[in-house]
Amino acid sequence: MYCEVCKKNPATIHYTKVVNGLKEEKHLCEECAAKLKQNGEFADFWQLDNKTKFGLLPDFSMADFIGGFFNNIGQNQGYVQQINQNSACPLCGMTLAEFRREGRVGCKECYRFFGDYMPSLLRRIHGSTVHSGKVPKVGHAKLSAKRQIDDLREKLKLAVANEDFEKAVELRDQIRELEKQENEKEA
Amino acid sequence: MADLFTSTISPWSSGKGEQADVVLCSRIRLARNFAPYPFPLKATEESSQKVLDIMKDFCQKHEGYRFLSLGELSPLQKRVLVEKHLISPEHAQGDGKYKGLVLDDEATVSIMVNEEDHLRLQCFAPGMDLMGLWDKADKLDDLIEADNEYAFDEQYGYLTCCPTNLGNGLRGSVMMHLPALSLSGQLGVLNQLGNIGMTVRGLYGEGSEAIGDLYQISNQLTLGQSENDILTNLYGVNQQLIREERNARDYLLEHNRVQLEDRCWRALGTLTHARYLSSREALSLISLVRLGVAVGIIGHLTLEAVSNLYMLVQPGYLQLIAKNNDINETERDLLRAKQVKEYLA
Repeated sequence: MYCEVCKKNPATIHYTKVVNGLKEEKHLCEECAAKLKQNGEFADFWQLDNKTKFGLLPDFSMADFIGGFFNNIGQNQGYVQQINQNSACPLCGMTLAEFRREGRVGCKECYRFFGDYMPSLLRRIHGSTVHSGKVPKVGHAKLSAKRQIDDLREKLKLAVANEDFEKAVELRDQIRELEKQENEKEA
Repeated sequence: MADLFTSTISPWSSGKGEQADVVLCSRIRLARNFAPYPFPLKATEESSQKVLDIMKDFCQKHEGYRFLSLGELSPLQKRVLVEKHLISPEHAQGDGKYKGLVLDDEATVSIMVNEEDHLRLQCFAPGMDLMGLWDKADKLDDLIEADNEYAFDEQYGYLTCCPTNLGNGLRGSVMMHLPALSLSGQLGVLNQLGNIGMTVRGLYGEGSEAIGDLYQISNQLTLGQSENDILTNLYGVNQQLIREERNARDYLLEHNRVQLEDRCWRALGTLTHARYLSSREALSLISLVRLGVAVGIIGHLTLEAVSNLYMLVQPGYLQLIAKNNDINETERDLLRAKQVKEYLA
């Protein structure tokens, strides 16, 4: 790549500025860069000088990052090589090759279709493979109620620790009520 | 509607709320997808339209929400929405034909429709208010869920396009103003936050640089921890940072008071007298003035007044009020300086 000012010397100084997601680049040779700097042009870029002294860092996205995980997964655990690179998710048509490239999936079915890969991938990203938190009430009523009770128990512990006994009694009653409802549903 | 673009009021720059001396605003984001349709990455025109229709119906059914089709907005209007943090830079890209935005009346709730996921629910509040926001986001989420089935798995939780958001799809963020830590060269502590599952970003999210000593601290992990645990951790980390920043301010006041006064007043002097201001310079100056106001050096301004400047100096916003799409950078710098001068007069 040649310097964009003199178009003669190779560009050795590269600046990238990202403001509000808009990228602006400058590719210059040292001579022209020095001249421009002296003339006080592109002041915005020179202010970055200290931070980008070592030139342009390559763009590194989350997708590359996740894609990189795959490289190691296969080697350690032979069993995950079962899916052909070109077989596609029945709902959205995403292939394994595409998933590796994008680092993202195409639909909810993909989590099942690429299911062999998911646990090790998720363990690497999150250190966990099991959701703990909110559950939709519709269609998952039982789990939702269980989470709600767990949540109240946590609050109860906290209330007791803070010696807020009025609140604790209130929470205990709520827990009992919910448990009763759940038991009735099961019976 | 016109107000949405031309007003400088935005939750992240109102200067109000708890711990406003250090915290600009808090934000909660939930990533959600509807079960029947492929995610936007693999969506068809038909499925994208279905998702838009769901949210249009939602706005008709629930008072206080309005639907904006991004295809009907100009690139400049979209840019202002980015500057107000109501949409992401990614959401502003392209023709926006199948992208939508749901806003509440005060623009403290914004739902990006067909961004990376079908829905990105965001709630904003000035100052530190993570728990209040979670409450609000949780209720809004319930409201949408009442009529629609989300993509959810009992093991993996809410299913998202990117596995990094899987689980609760929650990202809590706090926008912090850390000028004293920066002046005293103590920002190294931010590099450590990655070790405890936190991410630090600049003003405009992923990949953006820290300008004007503004840092967004967010949780990184979304699977395996409850919403409450994540937000409690995030709150704790931010409280620690707030303490450090306040200590650094006290230290500077005690040991370098005159130098600090000099820098703050010089910054205000430049803001009120400059004829040209680049956005980068303006944001650095605002940072020092905000610090001066927060520690009581500059007594005649309030945090609210200074924080309003943040929107006023944004490039897209200036271009929009100039009513001239062809305004060049120099003209914009001139207009920026004029606006700031008039505002502070």
